[in-house]
Amino acid sequence: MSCEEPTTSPTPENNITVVSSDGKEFLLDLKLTEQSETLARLISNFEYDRTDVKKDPVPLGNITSAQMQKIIEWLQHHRYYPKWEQNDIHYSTSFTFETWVEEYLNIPNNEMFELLNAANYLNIPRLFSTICRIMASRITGKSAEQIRTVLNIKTDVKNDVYTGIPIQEDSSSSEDGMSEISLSPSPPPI
Amino acid sequence: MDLFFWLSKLYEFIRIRFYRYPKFPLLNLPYVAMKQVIRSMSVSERIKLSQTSKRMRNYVILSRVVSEYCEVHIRDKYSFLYFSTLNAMFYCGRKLESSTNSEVLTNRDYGIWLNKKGTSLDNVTTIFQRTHLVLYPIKILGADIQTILSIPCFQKCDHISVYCGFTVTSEFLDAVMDFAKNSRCVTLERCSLSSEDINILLKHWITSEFNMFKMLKIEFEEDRKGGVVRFCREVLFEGITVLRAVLRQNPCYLIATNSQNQLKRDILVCQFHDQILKMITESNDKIRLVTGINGTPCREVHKVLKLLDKKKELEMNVLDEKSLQERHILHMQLETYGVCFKDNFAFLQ
Repeated sequence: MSCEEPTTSPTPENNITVVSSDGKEFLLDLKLTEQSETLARLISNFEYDRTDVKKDPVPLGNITSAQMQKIIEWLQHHRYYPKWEQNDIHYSTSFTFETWVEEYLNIPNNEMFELLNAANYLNIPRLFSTICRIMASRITGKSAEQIRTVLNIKTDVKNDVYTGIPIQEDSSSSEDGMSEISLSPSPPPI
Repeated sequence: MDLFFWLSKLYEFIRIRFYRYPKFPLLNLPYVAMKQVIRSMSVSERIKLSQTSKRMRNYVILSRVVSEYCEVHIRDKYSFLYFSTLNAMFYCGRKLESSTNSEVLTNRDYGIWLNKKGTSLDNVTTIFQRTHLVLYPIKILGADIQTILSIPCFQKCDHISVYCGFTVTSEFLDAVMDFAKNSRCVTLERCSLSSEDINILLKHWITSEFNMFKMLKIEFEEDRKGGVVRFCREVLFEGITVLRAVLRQNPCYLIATNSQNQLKRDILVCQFHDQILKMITESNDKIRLVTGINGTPCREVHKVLKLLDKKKELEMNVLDEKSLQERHILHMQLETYGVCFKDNFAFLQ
């Protein structure tokens, strides 16, 4: 919930202010921030949970106000949910989400991508895992070509695996695909 | 207000449904996030994804999950692989069981990997190699064992389960026992070996200079008249020094090796359950037998068995005063370990 429409009576003692990349301020209940590992750790490090500590606004440079609004909506909904336990390895054939989640994530792929990035940045495991699974379900039943279109993958395979027709090679990839993989972002220019 | 609400709903619907879906640039995600997205996919989705590009294939490989257990069932056109961690079954052709909680993949999902003219074994091997998973204990069911065991990727298996039927050739058993050499587990299903055959095997194990197997489980075939196979203790252990004891709450027979080498597994534990004979080899140090003597566990099984061996040797000699004295001393020593004798069998109290 944004600072404009608080549901609970906000007091400076149990709230912190976060600032999105476009400069908009949001007042967040400390209870909500427990769901985000990044914010929870920050609060614990700066001792913002203490009443006598002055709370400076937290800048979130990677998250826009639209994304922040969406994330606060998620945090509000899952306020009283038990702590998320990671069980990513075991795939279940019957993945179901509650109606609210389905409606909440009924958004175009590009918005989903931005939301996933924001969830990854704020480290909200429940939201992150849910988006991952929803995104995976969007490629279910699709052919390799359709998956390429949805996920914006440029092929570096010389012939299509199904038709055998030559495909235009991806200029950005080298002969050995492994060399393309970098586990850390490229260093900033000096 | 209502009109505005419905208009906004209609706008949302049009935006989602009719707007050409923008792309989700998966490769632009940070590596950890991308790995998570790939891991949340089912096996078939991952296979499809790996076919989109070489780069994507490498990411799929990097995001793979280690499977602790894999079963390879070779049953002609119904051959399949089962990975417990993924809870997925990979069929070479059509699926056999219709109701299963596992994710089932058939040749439709990875038809391009399979050779249409290839045998089931070729296809199983191809899928096995293609799945790119770490291969730990593997159970193989199949008839042509020599061919299966000659395939390099199957030589890493820890467990082999073989259906024998009525006809077991010596070459067949040689191949299985050769495989079992490095402390592996073998199960012979519906085996028709007799008590005499097992006796020969036990004698061979006693004189063997290497670790023959970790566990050999023989499930006996019912005889041709449908009767239950009965083990004859006297025939099974003829000419072998055995000690009857209770190990992990199960009655068992213990045999020690005569090997001069320091073998890792120098004690053989024999257990019977209905039509199943289980032979487990263990290190002497790891065997703890509970005895009635002060309730202390016996840790010197090897020593007790050697004493029993010596006793047997003395009994075969001519009775004179010296041997009588030695036999008396041996009896005293065995008694301290709680060894008793009944029906020509030594057992721990």
